[in-house]
Amino acid sequence: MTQIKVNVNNQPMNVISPISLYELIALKQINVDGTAIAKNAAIVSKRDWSTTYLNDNDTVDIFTLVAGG
Amino acid sequence: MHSCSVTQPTVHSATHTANHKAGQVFERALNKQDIKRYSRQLMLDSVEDEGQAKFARSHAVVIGLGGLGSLVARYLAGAGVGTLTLVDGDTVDISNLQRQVTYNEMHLGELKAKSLYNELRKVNSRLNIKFKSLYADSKNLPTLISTADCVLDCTDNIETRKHINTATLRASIPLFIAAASGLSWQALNLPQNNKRIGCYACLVEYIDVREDCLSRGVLGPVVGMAACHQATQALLFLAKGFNADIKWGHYLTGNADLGSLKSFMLPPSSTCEVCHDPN
Repeated sequence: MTQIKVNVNNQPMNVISPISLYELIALKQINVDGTAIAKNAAIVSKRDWSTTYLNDNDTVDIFTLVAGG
Repeated sequence: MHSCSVTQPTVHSATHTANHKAGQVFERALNKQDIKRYSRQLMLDSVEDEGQAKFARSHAVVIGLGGLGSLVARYLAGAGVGTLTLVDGDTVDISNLQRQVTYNEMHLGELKAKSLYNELRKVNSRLNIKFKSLYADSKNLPTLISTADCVLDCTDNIETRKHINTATLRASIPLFIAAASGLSWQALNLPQNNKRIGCYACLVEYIDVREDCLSRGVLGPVVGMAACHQATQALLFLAKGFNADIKWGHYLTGNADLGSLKSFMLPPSSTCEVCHDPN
């Protein structure tokens, strides 16, 4: 296990590797309803959150999808 | 009131063709009046005379005529898009006036599609404007969009958005999506003919998107920001086609409070039931 530095929503964050996107969401206690995640500026399907792991210096953006108009 | 209602009102529709048949307006060189009317956009490299002629020959279908669609349609009409189809089964409610800037107190209770049709006729009487006072669904969408050069998804609920995505993908018609809630707005341009780019179903696959038009609220100008972006992207496409300098398949998220914009690539999902082709 090693510590890596990632950037989550423009904030630097130290996490213990290996860590998946799903585990990151749980760690940050974010409600997954309506939530989308992009890793290194590419959206990751929710199906793949648990198998997509973070590397050192990865950028993660977590945002809520909206549908109003 | 919003366009999520499940009740299906009586269908009203009409086609208005003014003195000039749509698509014939710019068959000849631009006349003096055209040059004056469209002078500010004719100056742009991304439009010029050729793009203006393409506007006149184009057909855009605007689905949902609330905060997004009413403004989008106003910009497309102002720019001279030759044929516009306006689709919404909703009526104008007093709660709409905070953000749906083309309606006013005189329109309360009227069908949005007809009200907007009447207003847009005053903006540009030379256009062929059609209105359909109905809610888009999987059954009527193929017909509604069959002759469109592009479709603008201005709706406010996830199910209709999915149906529009499916219909445009099957017909290979470019789709311009926008949405807003709270202080956030988001947008996505989909070519619907490129297997390297995901579709709307790929985006929302496995995600429980909240029907948040009523529960979270929205500030009027934030919807306007989304609509302005959406109309701009559609106009640039209509002027130059796929040579237009716009981004396809990138999901744009804007936060109006921070003034920030971010863009994320949307890859196709290998399990998408709409766009994934196992062959």
